[in-house]
Amino acid sequence: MTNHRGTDPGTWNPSNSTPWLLRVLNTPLRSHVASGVLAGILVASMAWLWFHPESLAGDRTHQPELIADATNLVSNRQNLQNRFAAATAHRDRCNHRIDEIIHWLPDSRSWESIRASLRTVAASNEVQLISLDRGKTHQGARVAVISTRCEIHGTYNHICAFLSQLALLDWPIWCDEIRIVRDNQVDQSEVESIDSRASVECVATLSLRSPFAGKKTTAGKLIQRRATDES
Amino acid sequence: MPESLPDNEHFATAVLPPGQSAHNESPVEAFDAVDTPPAELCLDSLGGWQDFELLPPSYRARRNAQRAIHRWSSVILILLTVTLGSAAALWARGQRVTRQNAELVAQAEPIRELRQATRVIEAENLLLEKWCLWVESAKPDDCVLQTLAAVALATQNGDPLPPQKHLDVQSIEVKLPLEYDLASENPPTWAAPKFSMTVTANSRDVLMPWNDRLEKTGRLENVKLTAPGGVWHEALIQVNATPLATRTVP
Repeated sequence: MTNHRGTDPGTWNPSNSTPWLLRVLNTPLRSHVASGVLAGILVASMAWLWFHPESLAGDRTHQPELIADATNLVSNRQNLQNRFAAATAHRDRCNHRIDEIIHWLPDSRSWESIRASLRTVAASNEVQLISLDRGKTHQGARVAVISTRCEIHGTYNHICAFLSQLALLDWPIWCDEIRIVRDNQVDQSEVESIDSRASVECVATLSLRSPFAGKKTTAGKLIQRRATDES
Repeated sequence: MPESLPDNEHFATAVLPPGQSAHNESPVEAFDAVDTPPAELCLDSLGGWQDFELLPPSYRARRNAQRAIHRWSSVILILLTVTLGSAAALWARGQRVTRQNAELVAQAEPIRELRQATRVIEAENLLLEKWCLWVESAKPDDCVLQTLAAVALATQNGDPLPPQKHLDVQSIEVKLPLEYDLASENPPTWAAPKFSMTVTANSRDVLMPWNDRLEKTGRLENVKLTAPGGVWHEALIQVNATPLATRTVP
């Protein structure tokens, strides 16, 4: 017989020609123990895979919350589109309201424009503007105002028309306080009918407030936001 | 390792055919004979009950170990196949799930941006609407004029009265509530609303109905008619009330 295990028949050694596995597991007990351990490891691995399939089948690159959120988003796509359309329409309505505010509320206001407006209104309502004093400029929470104090003379009807006109100006003016006193120089004997009573001459002292947006007020921030949106 | 046994011990016990000696065969050939089926000799003369194992115990142990490994190998092979197959199937499923999830996330990304944009717009809308309401409440109105008109209607009610029953208003003052710092508990004096009116009453009879009508105007509350110095037979009547304003003047 030829030696097919050893390299050199003259230096034959059984330990060299035996597979290493057989050299280690050279007893039945060792073989059973090693094989049993290996089989047990394999069974345990199978059991682990059976009870924890996500260890291999799970998605490690995406968080479950992300997937759940993505699923929710895709399934609610139409609702979100409707919600976006509603929000956009709401924004348009808000912008329209802001435009209306900008229409009656200037960014700033000069004393000259207030004085000119009051003179125009007084002249158009046949009211005599006796005095006109500028007050302080007040930066309120909502708007800023320039306070004015003025004294007018005219019939009660004309004074009421003057008051009505103030609120209808393009840049309306508040009248926060008024004191009307009957003019004693008018002969009371003339007061007989309702018409004549309405035309009683009076002197009125008014406290006026001319609003404008200002800088640090809510109106100022609102107008600035609108300008930012437009740009 | 017990395989390194002395050569003499290995081959001295082998049964050789007649005419051969133990030294006629090379150790290699003798070792090859070990791999042949187990050399068991049965003596028929003894009824076959006695077996003789002529190999050394270490070889027998190795041979039995080899048999055990062969038996276990099929079981291990099956377990290994099932385990690796399951792992491969699960891994493939995981890859498929990962790919599907990536596709789902990619599809959801523009919708997520849409949702984010919607939330931003909705939040801004709430803020803008609140600001609009606040600023619109500062738009000037004719509240003072409305109060004057309500008082005029209450004073001149119905048909004209004879001169002896006239109520001649001498002066009237209306002050609307002003905006003030909400940190203070009570409104300051300069911000409080005020209404006062001085009337010359030519008759006492018309005062109580007039008082009732002033109360019902909806523009005044806490209406009080007083006579200066408490002298009611005097013609001069003072009216104090609190005007109701729809807005607070900025």
